[in-house]
Amino acid sequence: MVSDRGDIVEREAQRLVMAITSGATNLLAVIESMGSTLNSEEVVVRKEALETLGEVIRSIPSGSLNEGEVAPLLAYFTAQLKGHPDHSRAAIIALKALFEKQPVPKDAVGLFIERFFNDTALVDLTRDDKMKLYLIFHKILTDASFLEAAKKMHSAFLPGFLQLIEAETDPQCLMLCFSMYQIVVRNFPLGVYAEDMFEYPAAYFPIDFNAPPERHGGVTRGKLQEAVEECLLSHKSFEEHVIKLCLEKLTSQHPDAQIDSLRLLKRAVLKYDASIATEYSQAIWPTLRMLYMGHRGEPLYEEAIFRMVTALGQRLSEVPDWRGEVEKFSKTLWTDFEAVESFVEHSGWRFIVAFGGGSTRCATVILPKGFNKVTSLISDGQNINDSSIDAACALVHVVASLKDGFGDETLRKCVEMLASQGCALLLDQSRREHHVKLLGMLTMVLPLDTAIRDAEKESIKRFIENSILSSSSIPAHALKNFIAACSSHFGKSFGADLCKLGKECRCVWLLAGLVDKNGQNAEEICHELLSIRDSSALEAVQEILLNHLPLADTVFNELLTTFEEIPDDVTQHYQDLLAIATRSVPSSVISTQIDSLCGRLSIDSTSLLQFRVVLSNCPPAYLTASTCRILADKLSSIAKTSASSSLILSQCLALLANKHQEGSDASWLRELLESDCLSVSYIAKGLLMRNHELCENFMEVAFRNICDHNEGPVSFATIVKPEPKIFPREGGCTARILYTQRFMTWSMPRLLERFDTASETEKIALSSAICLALHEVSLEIAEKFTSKLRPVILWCLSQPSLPAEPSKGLLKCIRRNFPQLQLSIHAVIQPLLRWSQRPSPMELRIEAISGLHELKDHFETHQLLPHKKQVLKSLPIGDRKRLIRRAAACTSVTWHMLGEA
Amino acid sequence: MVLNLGFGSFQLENAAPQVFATVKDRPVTAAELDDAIEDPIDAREVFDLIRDINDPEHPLTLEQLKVVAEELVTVDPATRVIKVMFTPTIPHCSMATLIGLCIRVKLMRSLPREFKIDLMITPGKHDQERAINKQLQDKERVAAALENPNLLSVVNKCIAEPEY
Repeated sequence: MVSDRGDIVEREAQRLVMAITSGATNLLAVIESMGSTLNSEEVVVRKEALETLGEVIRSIPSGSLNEGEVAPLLAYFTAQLKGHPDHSRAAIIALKALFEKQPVPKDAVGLFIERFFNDTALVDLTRDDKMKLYLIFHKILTDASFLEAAKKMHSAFLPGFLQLIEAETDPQCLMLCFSMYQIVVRNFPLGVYAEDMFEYPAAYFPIDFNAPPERHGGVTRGKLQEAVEECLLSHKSFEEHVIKLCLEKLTSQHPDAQIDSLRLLKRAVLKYDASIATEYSQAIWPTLRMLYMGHRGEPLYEEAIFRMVTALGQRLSEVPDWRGEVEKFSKTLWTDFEAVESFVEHSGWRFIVAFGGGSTRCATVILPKGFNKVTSLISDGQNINDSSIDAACALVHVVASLKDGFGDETLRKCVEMLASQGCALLLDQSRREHHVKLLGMLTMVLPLDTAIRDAEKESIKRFIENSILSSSSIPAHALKNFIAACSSHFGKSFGADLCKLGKECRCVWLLAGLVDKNGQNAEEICHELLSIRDSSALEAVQEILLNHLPLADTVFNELLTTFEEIPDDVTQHYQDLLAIATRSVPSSVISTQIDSLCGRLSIDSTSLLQFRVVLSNCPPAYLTASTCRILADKLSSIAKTSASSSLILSQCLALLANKHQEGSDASWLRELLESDCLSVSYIAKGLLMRNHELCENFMEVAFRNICDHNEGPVSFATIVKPEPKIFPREGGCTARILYTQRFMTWSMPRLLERFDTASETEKIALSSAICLALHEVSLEIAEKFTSKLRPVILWCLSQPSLPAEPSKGLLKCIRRNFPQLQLSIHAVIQPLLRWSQRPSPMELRIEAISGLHELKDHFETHQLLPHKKQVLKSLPIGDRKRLIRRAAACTSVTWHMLGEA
Repeated sequence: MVLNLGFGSFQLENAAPQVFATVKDRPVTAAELDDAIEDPIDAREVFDLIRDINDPEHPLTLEQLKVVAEELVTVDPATRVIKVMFTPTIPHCSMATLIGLCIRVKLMRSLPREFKIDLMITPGKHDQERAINKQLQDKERVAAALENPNLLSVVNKCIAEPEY
C-alpha cells in the first residue's frame, strides 16, 4: 500500500513537472489547484500534498522561481516543521531543494533561521532527515550572502545552533556538524556562550569510533579526530579550556585518549599565544614525565611526548623573557635526568635533545649540558654504550640541523670535543660495534670546518687504512658514504692519497666513495673497479654509471674487451651493467662493437653472453639483413659443435629474429626452420613478439616437434615462458603484450585436435605441452581455454606417469579453474594425494596439499567424508621440510573438522 | 569423568584484555626451499601452529593476548617431547581449560604422532593450575571432552585455520 501511494505521488509530481516545464501551467497555479490539501487536518492528505509539492520543487529546473515566489514557500514549509513528523520530513526535502536550486532572498533566510530555532523540535527526525537539515544549514553558512543574513542575529544564533547539532552520533552527520561549528565560531561573537560552545566538541574528545569506513561513507576515526581538534582549536578564548582538557585526558588510562591529548596539546601550544606555554609548562611537564616512564619503548607515545617537548621549547623561546623561561624549563629537565642512570638508561638525553631542537635559543641553553654529560661518559670509558653513542649522534644532529647551529661558540667547542672523542673511538677496535654510528656522527660534524683538526684527520685516515687491512665488519655502504663526505670536505689531496690506497688494496667501497660530484675522476675509478671484477665492484660501477651517463662509452667498451671470463657469481651483475651501458652508448659505438663481437663469436660462453646482452638491448636498426645472416650462420655453426650452449645460442637466434626488419631479406631466417627444436621454439618466440610474418611457420615446426622430439613439449612451452630480461620491453609493444594470447589461440585448438587422434605416447607429449603452456600463461588467458581442455585434463589426471613439470601446470590450472572444469572428487583426490608425496618435487607437493585443502570449497561434506580417513593418513605432517609440514598441518586441521560438530 | 570447562557464565570475565603486538611471519630461508636439507621441528614452528588460535571470549588470537608465546615452547628433538606452556590473561580465568583443550587439539592434529606433547599452564599464572594441568594431561578426559558435539564445535571454531 505504502509503495502504491508513493508511486501515485511520484507520478502526479512528474505530471505536474512536465506541465510546468512545457509552459502549460506554473507553480503558483499548481499550488492553487492543490488548495486545501496543503493545509488539511488529515495527516495523510497533507503529507501527500506536501510530498507532491516537494517533489515538484525538487524536479523543476534550477532558478525557475523568483525570490518573491520562494519567500512564501520557505515560510510555508518552515511552518510545517513543527507539525507531524511525516509533514516535517516532506517539508525538509522541499526546503533543501529550495536552498539548493532556487534564489532564496536574504531576508527570508534570517526569518527561516529564527522560526526554525524557535519553533522546531528535532526529536522525531531520522538520521537522513537530520542530514538534510544539516546540509541546509551548511549551505546557509557557506554562502556569503546567507551567512551575512545569519550574522545579524549575533550571539542569539548560538543557542539554536547548539540545539541543532547537539547529541549527534552519526559519523557522517558529525563531520558536517564539525564543519558548520568551525564556521560559526569564526563568524559569530561567542559572548556568554563561549564555554557552552567549547563544551560541544570537548564532549566528543577523544573520538571513540572504530567502525570500518565503508559503512559510514568513508568517514574514519582519523577524519573525525582531525575535525574535532580543529573545532577545539577554532577560537582564541578556548585556549585555557583546551590545555586543561588535554591535561585531564592525559591522566586517563585509555591509550587513544592519551595519544590524542598529546597531539592536541602540542597543536594548542603551537597555535595559541606563546604566553600559554610559559603559564602551563610547569604543569605539563610532570604529566609528560609520568606518561613517558609508563610507556617507554612505545613508539607512538615516545614520538608524541618528544614532539610536545620540542613544541614547548619553540614557544618558550619566543616570549620576551625567553632566557629566564628556557633556563627554568631546562633546569626542570636537567634535575630529572642529570643522574647517569636517568640520562642514559632512561633515555633522558632524548628529552634534552627534543627540547634543544625547539629553537637555537633552547639549544644554546640546554645542549652544552648534554654535550658535557656525553663527553664525560665517553671519556670515562666504562659508560660507552649504545645509548651514550646515540645521545652523542643526536646532539650533533640537532646542532647541525639548527639554523646557524654551529655559529654559537659554546656549541662549536662542544661539537669539536665530541668529534675528537669520536675519531679516537674509531681507532679503538674494542668499540667496533659503535663505529657505524660514529661514522654517521662524524659525517654530520664535517661541515663544521674547525671541528676536524689535523690530528682527527690523521685518525680518520688511519681508521680507513685499518678498515681495509682488517676487512672491517662495517657495511660497505656506510664506509663509502663516509669516504664520499670526507673526500668532498677535505679536498683533492685527501682524495688522491686515498685513491692511491684504494688502488693498491683494490678496495671497492673506498674507490666508490671517492668519485667527485662532477664526475671528473669517475672514468679512472670505474676503470679500477672493473679491474677488480667482483659483484660489489660491478654494482659500484653501475651506480657511478647511472649518475654519470657520459661514462657509458668507456664502460661499454671495457666490459666487452677486458672480460674474458665471467665468474658465475658475477654473471647477473655483469649482465645488468652491460645492459645499462648498451642502452646508454651512442649508435656508432654499438655498430662497431657488434661487428667486433661477430668477429670474436665462438663457443666460448663469455662472448655468447656478451652478444646476447648487447642484442637484447640494442635497437633493431643496427642489424641489417646481411649482418643478421652472418651472425645467424655463425651461431648455427657454433651450435653444431657445442650442445652445452644450446640455450644461449637459441636465445641469440631468437633475438636476431626479433630484430629482423620485415621486407628485408629473410632467406637466412627461413633456413633456420631446420634448426634443433629448442632453437625453433625460441625463434618462433622472437618472431611472435614482433608479430613477424614468419612466426606461424616456426610455430608449425615447433608444434610438430612436440611429438617428434623428447624435448618437444618443454621447448614448445618455452614460447610463452616470460623472460623479461632477455626480451626487454621495447618496440612492438602491442604484439608483445598480446603474444601469449595469440599463441594460445593458435596452438590450443591444434593441440586438442591432434590429441583426439594421437597414440598413448603422443598423448603424454601433447598433454605435457598443454599443461606446461598453461603453467606459464596468466589466469585470464588460461581460463578461456580450460573448459575446452577438460577431456585432456581428465586424461592427464588418470596418468600416474605424467612427468612432474607438466603436473605442476596441470595442478595450477585445476586449482584456479575448479568450478569451470566440474571435476568429480574421484577424479582429483588420488592424483592430489599422489602429488603430495615424495618423490614429487617440493613445489608440486605444496601445490597438491593446498589443492586438498581447497576441496572443501568445491565439494559438499558428504562427498568428501568417504576420503577423510585416507587423506588424513596420507598427509605428510611429518615431512622433512618445514614448508610441507606447514601446508599439511593446515590441511589436516581442515579435514579433521569435516563432519564434526 | 569429563573436563570442567567453566561454561555457564555468559558475562566476559576480562572485558578489556590488553592486546599485544604480534611477531612477524617467519621468513622463508634458502635452506627451507632446498628439498635436500632437513628442517627440524623447532619452538617457532610449534608456536606458529598455535599463535592463530582464536580466544573463546574475544575476537583476538592467543598470540595477541599473549596467552601463548614462542619462549614458552620448547622442543627436545632427542626425546621427541614438545613442551608448551600457556598463560591465561587473568588468574581466575574459567576459559583456561578450554584454551588448553584448543591448543592440545590443534597440536594433535598438526604434529606427527611420534611427538609427545606436554601442555601446561605457566607456573603461578592460574589459581587452579594443578587441577587444569591434570585435566589437560589426561588423554581419556580430553577424548571424552571431544565426544561432546557442543564442545567440539567451540574447539573447532577456535582452531579454524586462517587461509594460507
